[in-house]
Amino acid sequence: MAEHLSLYMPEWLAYTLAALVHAFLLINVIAVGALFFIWQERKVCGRIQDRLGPTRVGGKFGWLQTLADGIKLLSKEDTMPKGADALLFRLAPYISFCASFAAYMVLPFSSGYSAIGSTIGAFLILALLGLEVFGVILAGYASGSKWSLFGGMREAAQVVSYEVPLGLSVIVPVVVAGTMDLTAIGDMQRGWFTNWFVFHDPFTFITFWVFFSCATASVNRAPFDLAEAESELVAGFHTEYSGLRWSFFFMAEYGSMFLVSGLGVVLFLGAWHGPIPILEPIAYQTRGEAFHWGGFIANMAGVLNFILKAVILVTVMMWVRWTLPRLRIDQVMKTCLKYCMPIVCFTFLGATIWSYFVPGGLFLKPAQPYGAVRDFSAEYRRPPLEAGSTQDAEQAPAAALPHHAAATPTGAAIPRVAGRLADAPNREARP
Amino acid sequence: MNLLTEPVGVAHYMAVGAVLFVCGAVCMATKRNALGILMGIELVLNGANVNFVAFSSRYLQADPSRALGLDGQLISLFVIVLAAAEAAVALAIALNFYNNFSTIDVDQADELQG
Amino acid sequence: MINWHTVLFLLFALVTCTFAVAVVASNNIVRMAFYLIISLGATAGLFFLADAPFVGAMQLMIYVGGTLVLLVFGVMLTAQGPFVSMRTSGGEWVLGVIVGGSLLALLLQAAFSVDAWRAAPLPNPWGATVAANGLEGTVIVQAKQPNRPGGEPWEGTVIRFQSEPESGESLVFYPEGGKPLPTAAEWVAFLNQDPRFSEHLIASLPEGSSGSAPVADGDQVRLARRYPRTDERASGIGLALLGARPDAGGAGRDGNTGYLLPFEIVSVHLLVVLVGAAYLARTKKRVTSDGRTAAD
Repeated sequence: MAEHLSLYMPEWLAYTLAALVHAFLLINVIAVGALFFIWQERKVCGRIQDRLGPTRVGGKFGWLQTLADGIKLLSKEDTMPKGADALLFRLAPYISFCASFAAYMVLPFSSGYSAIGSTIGAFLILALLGLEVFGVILAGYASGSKWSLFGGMREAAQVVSYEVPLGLSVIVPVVVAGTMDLTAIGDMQRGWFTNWFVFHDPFTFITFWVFFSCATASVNRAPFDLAEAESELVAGFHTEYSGLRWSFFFMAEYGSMFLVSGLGVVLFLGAWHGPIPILEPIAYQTRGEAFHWGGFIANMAGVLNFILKAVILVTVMMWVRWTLPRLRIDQVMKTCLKYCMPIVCFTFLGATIWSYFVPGGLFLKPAQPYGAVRDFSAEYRRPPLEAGSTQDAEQAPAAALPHHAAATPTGAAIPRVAGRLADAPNREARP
Repeated sequence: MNLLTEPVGVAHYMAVGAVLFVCGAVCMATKRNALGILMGIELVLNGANVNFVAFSSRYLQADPSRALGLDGQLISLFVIVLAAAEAAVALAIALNFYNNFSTIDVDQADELQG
Repeated sequence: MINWHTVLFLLFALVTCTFAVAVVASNNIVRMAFYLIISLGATAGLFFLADAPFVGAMQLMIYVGGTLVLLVFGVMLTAQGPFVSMRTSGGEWVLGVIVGGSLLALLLQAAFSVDAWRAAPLPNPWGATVAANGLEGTVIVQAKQPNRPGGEPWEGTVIRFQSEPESGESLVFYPEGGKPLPTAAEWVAFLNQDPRFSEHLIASLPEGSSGSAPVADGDQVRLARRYPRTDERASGIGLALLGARPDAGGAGRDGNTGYLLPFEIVSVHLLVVLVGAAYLARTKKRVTSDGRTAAD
């Protein structure tokens, strides 16, 4: 986006604008997401417990309930215990929230629709998500309360342990795809739903469930919410919090729930592709960087697809929370170290061997990335172009020109054929 | 020198690395808490890492061919990994020390004086 | 106007240094740990700015997310009071500040004394001039690019892009024999299609020119710098850990070997450390004075 803008205005201004737009959109995603999810959680919980949930605020279905909650929280007294470490106590919720928010930077909502198109996206999300634990630990410690301290300690032990199987289960689709770029991973799963990585081979199928369990644990949701076990620890790490600071913990929690669900959707469930490839013909004609309505509509549909799938995963998390009893802390550690770890090590090995011998997976032809996966060695040892390829290269601009003439009728505007598709002939796609 | 417009070079990174290093060294020298000393070590290692990464970058030098390239990044990766290992062992030692002496003040660990 | 890279660098550098000093100055061990977290997190930001995103992510993942959580855990396990502090005496402070200050002065002086380390990065390739000279011959691409080892030219290809700061930047086009000169629009399209060029620059026609006439002397092509997705070298790091050096033209050539052996050693080292740390930190059975064994 900044590149587009920089053609019309100074570079620094373009980058400022692009950054502001991205930050604005992402903050909205988290805030509106939290509003919706809190309401949804109440409704789901109510239905599971044979109640109605909120019904009054905002007319039908009580859909304004969260807003009313928010106003109530705003008006609450902001208390701090006497023995608390004031600075850390005040900062802790924001640390949690910032970590959750920062991880959204690399999450693609549709093909290329991410704030930062990083080729190490999957890794970066995990790294940033891992920072969220600090808010909880510091909150637990700074509260000066034993309940909070126990909550924080449990959280530290649990999250550090669960990071290992979570990381390994993320590696499995990365191995299958051959890249850590989330956009490229998503693009490879286009087509029918059998192309989704969860159906790629038996190992990825198992891995998805391990991933989902570990993701639930790493965002502190029941049945792994030992840090806030209300039957033992009052409210765990946020016992002493009230008002707005408390609600920041909740924003962070719902933010990271959506984040790990989104990560799961990108890695396993076909990302922004629907189960049936309806819009694909118009989506992929226009892979250049020039703006095109067909691509735009397809991408918007992709965003809807993505959000729908992620919301479904979040709903499953809620369903699990209100139906399963909480585990004990030793059971949590046992689940991680004795079950998740061996399973995911096995599937990692299996997926590696599988993608070596059966590169295509169970149902599909070998997934072809759109030039996003680059053969690194070929980059550096580029053979001299032969006559044939020179011909191709020289015919390419002529072929590309009419399209751009159509897109920019004046001709004075910017014909640009750059982008991944344009690079594709010169880069070998890897199976 | 206009700091808002002038591009940064390796020297700027080295200055940050130097600050980290000195802070770490002073931290190691003055703290009496074993874990404080451990934090000093982490700072020193990070100061070194900043320098490695700065020298590996092609965008911070006038002559990019003199950049270390992947070597600098790889060495800093090794430093990070070894720092993790070192922290684990040092923490285990500190816990052991705490178990035996009920304190973590390194000045109390003077039994070898006889 | 504003160079965001510099501004962000200053921001992260300031945070890093401030909180590093705060680690030294603070006496409260939990606060120290917190300041250290922020300092190292900002260092990761510096790594991202120095075009090493993989190292930056590694720093966040292992250092901040792993090692420091461990450290905070250790702090919690060994803290006696609610907030432990161990005072450093005034004399130690004075000594520490004097020695540290002189060391810092020395290091800073060393850092800024080498001219090559202060210099600016890539020249800004805006507004290059297109010169069409010569009516025969092959179209040759020669790119003197800093990202390529040795900056050797690609032979037998299409455009010569010279980037010499003294003489200004010029694109030299040599049309092939018998072929008509390409139009400016075709050149622009071609430039943007060739990955060797388009990886670094975006070419476009200046405002108001139609681009349908053949290239003539003095024609302008507007060039914008493309910021490439430079973190693609994460795969280079992976390959180097396996022993191949794609950036050095293959394994073992010119003494540029990969890092397979150090990688293996580090892996074994980590395993040994894991076992050793678990052994050191385990609960010990101790024989009490009345001869029974008891957990510590």
